[in-house]
Amino acid sequence: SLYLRACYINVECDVAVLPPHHAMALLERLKAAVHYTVGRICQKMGEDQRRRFSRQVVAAIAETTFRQCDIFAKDLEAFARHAKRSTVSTEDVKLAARRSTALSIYIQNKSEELNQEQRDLKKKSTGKRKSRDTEEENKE
Amino acid sequence: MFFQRQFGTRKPRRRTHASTGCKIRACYPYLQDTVSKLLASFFKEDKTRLGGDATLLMADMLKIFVQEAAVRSLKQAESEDCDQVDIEHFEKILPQLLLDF
Repeated sequence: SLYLRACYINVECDVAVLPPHHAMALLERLKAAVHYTVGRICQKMGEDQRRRFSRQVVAAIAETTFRQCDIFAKDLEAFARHAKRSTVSTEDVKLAARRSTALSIYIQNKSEELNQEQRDLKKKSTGKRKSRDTEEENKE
Repeated sequence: MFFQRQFGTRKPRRRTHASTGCKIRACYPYLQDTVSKLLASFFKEDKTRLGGDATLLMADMLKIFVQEAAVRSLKQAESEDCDQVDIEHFEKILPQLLLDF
């Protein structure tokens, strides 16, 4: 039945959109969303290798992911609290990915990419402001 | 009232695919939203918040976790010359997968 539910509570249709009388707790709906996404990823990877994933496997991967998420969340919270913050930052995520070298490097690169973009965006906005300032000065 | 506070009616602010160059954004527009709710529901304290970039990174990490599970199961099925990936294949790769994450 979880599978049927997952069909209409997918990731494309935002979890927030469904009205409450669908009578599913938030956790249930999140589980369904995870199940749906796992199903899609498995289907895509299976097609490349011309192999099918049984529904049992998809459900098992979804359940494992859900529980792994629990572990990640608790870790992130503890890391943030250790750094005397109440907001989880990218530094905490980097710590959460420390166990595997390849994953850790990948996450660090991704984080660096995101930082770079943030800097570029800031540069752009300050650049615009500066040009506007000079325009105003010229008018004066 | 409670429902509104929980889910909100406001649309979450999203960066476009072009501005982040992040593949995950283009494929799953609501993934970031789902991941932040998922993690927030597991936090022990209510006041813990999740940063925007941290959410993106976590979405990426969870996607890698699922892909890793799928690929390892596929490899296991391949080595046993099966057309369908079955639960026994996943069972065999599960311990190492959990140790690696």
